[in-house]
Amino acid sequence: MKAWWSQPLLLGLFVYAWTSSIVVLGISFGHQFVAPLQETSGPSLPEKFSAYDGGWYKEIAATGYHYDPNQQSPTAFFPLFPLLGRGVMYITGLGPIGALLSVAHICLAAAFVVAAVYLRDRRLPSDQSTISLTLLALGLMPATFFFRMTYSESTFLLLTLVFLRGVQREWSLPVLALIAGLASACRPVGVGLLAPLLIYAWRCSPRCRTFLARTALYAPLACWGLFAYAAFLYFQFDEPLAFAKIQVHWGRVAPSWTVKMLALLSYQPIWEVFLWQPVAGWSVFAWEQVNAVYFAVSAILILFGIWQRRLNVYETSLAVMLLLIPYLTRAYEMNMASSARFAAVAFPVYLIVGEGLARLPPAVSAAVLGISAFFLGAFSALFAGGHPVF
Amino acid sequence: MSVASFVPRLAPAVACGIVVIAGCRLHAQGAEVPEPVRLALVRCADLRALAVTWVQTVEATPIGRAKIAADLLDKILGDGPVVQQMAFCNGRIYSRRETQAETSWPPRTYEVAFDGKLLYTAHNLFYSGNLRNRGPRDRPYLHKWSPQNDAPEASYFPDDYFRAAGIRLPTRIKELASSWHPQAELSALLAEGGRMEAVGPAELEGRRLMRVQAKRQCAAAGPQPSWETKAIQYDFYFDPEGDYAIRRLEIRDRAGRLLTRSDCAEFEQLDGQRLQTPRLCRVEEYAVPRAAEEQGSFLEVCPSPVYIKKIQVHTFDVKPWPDDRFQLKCLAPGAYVNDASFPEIKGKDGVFYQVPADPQRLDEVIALRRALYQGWRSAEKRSRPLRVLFLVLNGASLAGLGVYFLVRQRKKVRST
Repeated sequence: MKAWWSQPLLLGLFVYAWTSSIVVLGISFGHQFVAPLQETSGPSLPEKFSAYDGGWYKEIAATGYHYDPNQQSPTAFFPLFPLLGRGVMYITGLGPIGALLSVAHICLAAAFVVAAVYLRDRRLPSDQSTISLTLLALGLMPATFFFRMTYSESTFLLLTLVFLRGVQREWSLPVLALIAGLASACRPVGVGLLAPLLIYAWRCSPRCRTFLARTALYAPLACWGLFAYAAFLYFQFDEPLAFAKIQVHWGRVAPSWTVKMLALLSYQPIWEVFLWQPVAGWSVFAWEQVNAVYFAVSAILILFGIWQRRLNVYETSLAVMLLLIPYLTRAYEMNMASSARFAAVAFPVYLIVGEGLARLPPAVSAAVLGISAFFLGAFSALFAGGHPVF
Repeated sequence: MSVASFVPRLAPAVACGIVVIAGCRLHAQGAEVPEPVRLALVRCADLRALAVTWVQTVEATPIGRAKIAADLLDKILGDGPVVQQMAFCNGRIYSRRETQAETSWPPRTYEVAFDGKLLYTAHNLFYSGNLRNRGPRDRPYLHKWSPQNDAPEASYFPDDYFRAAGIRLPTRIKELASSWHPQAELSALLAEGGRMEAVGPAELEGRRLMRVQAKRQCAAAGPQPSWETKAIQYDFYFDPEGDYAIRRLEIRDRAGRLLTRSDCAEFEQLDGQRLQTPRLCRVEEYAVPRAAEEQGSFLEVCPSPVYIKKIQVHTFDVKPWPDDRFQLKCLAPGAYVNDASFPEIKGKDGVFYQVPADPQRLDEVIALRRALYQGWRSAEKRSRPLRVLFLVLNGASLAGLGVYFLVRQRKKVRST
């Protein structure tokens, strides 16, 4: 008889539940003990799960979209996650926060199960300790606490994992394109799935002409979610690009393309945040610095994985797109704000971390995961305490 | 009261009077300002302190609805009646607008103040620009900055009542910095180089009035004619039976087309002053504005009004306000503050912080954010050499990678 932890369903659900309990404890600790700097009367515990961008999703789920080009508007946030939340509200009668949290956690639990299945079939014969450590990394890396909030990251993670599983199982191109399209309705980086999809189409195509024909057919299909959202914005607000144009109200505006490109090529957004304060002011709890470090470490891990040939071409292309798109589009404008969260959905990073942990002595791996769990809880508490963790 | 204390109090009034009278004589080339009118103008300049509270409504006419762009019309009409207050005293100035839209939200307030050194604006709702923002994120917002760091022509004080009543409040940044006093519009025009054109009798609704026509000095016209360059001819209708208060003011453009007509009624003598001020004003606007972002410029002039402002005064208060009423403070926990009053800040935007729940931590929060601001400013300078270094390193590593792949490719070719 097989041990229960070798069954993906049970293992995935167990790791989800165990790692999520750390976040829930961190949030309740932060709710009760972390003194907020600016809050007057503290929001209720459920509302602590819905701070910052989570508040926008809550607003969309509760009252729908509105658009004002002169100020921050919810059109910046893609519709799949709040739409699912709205569906849960309709079916269960839950409030917007409860519904969105249900969606986020159901998607996260499912993502753990799909990840476990994907990992089991990734290397044959499968190595149980690598699978467990990868799942633990997925559950315990500090920025993954956003997966448990009213954020769209867990939904997006689930879709990318289903997509990778589809590639692994050699599903048909239309199905994969539909999944990629759904991801593009979830987060703008969903278009990043186009890269592995095109590679898959190339490999499936016997001739160049077949590939071109398939690309012409399935590339638009792989963006159907984005197109549908743009069409909605056009009919509703007369502005199909409202999701992109409204971004000027978040962060600074680049003076010119040259300035921005030079800054990006010199990695300025990553190291610039450390110049804002003297060395004495640097802190592992200063989220604006954590964002930059987290993103840089994720990128280095992916490069390491490519160099060591630990990632297949689909995982590589997916990871590169998921890191490159936010870096090129928002890193300069937002001074790397939210980039830890953006990097957290790049699943191939956890593959590298998991394999790395498996090679370490068990005690060292446990220590690394323990430290990671501490930061997961600490950042959850700071998030709940109203500190600028976003 | 001793003579020594009395003289300094009177001195500004006397000086203003002399300036106005001298100004009138100097520039009134076509006609002389009649003596009773001149005295009325002096009385206006003598006004040292006044606070007026009024309700203002704006209605678009059918022609205005047809001609004015929808988004601009929305902006002009606003969210309904506005309760407005404007006060000045000793070179300090304060204005407050309160709007109650038809929603469950509290009234929206917008305050502007100048305390002689700093400018302040405050909203009670940070996201007040759009009432469709239903989120719980709304908080008070305070912005303070030095006028030296602002555009000289900028103006933030909505002074519709005073304009309608023919009183010029110097509200532009460049005017705030100089010695400050209100003036009659006619005095201001003449002091700016305008000239008197004609003086004669007129009749308005059976009332005999004195019509004084003046022309402003023409400013150079730009590619898009602005109010300043277009409005050129002013017709003041003074009421001899009402201490020569202004009953009507008409402003025309170069071609003689009517741009604005203000009619004032229900005059009241201010406590302790001989100045008559109206309680009711009706302002008809005949020019079709161009766009929201191009204030003051317009597309065309219509023969009938495009929108009408109605002003109903609630109270006049001539008691001087204490100085601290011209300083806006916001200590509500959670309030956003954009503080550009620190000497190191060059510009309107400065240190951005939120007022902490514990007021004793306010200084700590400000010090932290100020240090961050200074670090951020100096980071711009320090980042230049680092940027060059990383660019070189990036270029070198890309070139190295290219060479590596080339060599590997060659080796592969050779081995095969």
